[in-house]
Amino acid sequence: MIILLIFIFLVIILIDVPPLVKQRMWKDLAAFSVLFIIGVVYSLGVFYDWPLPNPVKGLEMLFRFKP
Amino acid sequence: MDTDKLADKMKLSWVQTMLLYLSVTIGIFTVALPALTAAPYPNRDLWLVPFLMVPGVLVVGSIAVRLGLFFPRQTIIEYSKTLTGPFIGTMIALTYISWYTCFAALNLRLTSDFFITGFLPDTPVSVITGAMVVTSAYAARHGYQVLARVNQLLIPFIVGLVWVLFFLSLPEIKLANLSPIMAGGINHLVHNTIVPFSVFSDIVNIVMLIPYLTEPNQAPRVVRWGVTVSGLHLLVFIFTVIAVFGIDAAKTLVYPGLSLARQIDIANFIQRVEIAILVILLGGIFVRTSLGLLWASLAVAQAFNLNRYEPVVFPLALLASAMAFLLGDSTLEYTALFKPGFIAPYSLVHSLAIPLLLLLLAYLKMGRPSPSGTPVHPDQGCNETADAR
Repeated sequence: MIILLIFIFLVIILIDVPPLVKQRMWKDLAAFSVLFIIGVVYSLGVFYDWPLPNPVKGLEMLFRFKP
Repeated sequence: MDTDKLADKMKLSWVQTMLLYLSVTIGIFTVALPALTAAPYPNRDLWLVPFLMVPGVLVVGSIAVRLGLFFPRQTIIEYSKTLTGPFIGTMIALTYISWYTCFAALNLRLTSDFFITGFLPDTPVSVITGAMVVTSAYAARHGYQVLARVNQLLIPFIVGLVWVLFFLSLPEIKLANLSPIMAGGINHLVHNTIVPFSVFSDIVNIVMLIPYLTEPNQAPRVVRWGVTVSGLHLLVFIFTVIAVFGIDAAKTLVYPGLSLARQIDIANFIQRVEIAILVILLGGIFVRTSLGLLWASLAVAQAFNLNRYEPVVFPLALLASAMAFLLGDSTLEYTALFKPGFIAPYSLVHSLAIPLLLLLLAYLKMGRPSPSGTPVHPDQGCNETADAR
């Protein structure tokens, strides 16, 4: 399962990164990398049950209306 | 962002946009039917909810359209920066990015749970989520036009099958299940309207679509027709569910649409039509997830002035699928997100509060826009945005 996950990460990098580097779009590459790293950390976190902060709980704290 | 490059793959007509809205709403209410399952006071008047909901959603839609027509060549992400300055503008953009990512995640979770409980109990949940997210991300990378055309192929099935379910259920309908009408009073009806109102307020996302319409001044028609037609379908569907099961049985159902399809049996010949629900779900949720990912990545690209939005689609898809698992450990936990205590504030902040504030700011800063009804000339739109900068 974990091998499949790593395979998916590699495929995403292979699809998106080479054109960005070739066209020298460093800003796009930075945005991609930040989102990709968050995505990788969270998908591994879900897989291994890491105690990461849950964004959904944060949203619930912000928006939950308690009469 | 370079809008010229985008122009070809993003152009939409108003009919295509309306059809996208229909898929987005019909997909979710036939399967999950939050109007019934998350209603605070489930009673037999629930089928009257669309009559209260449609005018409210039309107001939300017209606020969004008015705001959009101030800047016919920009999305809400771009003009929120123009109106509120770069810092608050970026904050608003981040709010919308998280909203759209959640939107995609919720749909992914809904689909995978539906498949696990209804059809494929032995399949790992990640396989279903993965298949769904890969398809949607692929569609999102290809832009609005591809998505709209795929949707044009899907919509006859989505809408048609809702009506097929209605007609096949006709022999089971017991009108006695609907009386007495309005026994719960108007107060309960208003409370019950909150959830469908929040779900249907997705019409506000037209602020991400207006600049890509071939004729932006047709946007009011998208709202008028989209909201009315989807409201009609909600009416038909919720009426059928309550009239067939009676409210006491209906309010205990987890997937009312699936149960409705399962009980159809005409002369022992037409049976097991739940495949129809599956088609509606797959079509509707595919469009919802793709649009969620597309909006989120467009928002990222426009908020941070990237050249293209495509490179961020896959990372956001990864994030959305991880978030789908974080929504809750069980079906009960994440369906609690549909309860009015959460969905109403969460959805209305994005669909009503922020657009309304931006609209007020736009009126204050720029005066009245061109009188409604007069077509917005493409050059005029560009000049307006250039002036605003």
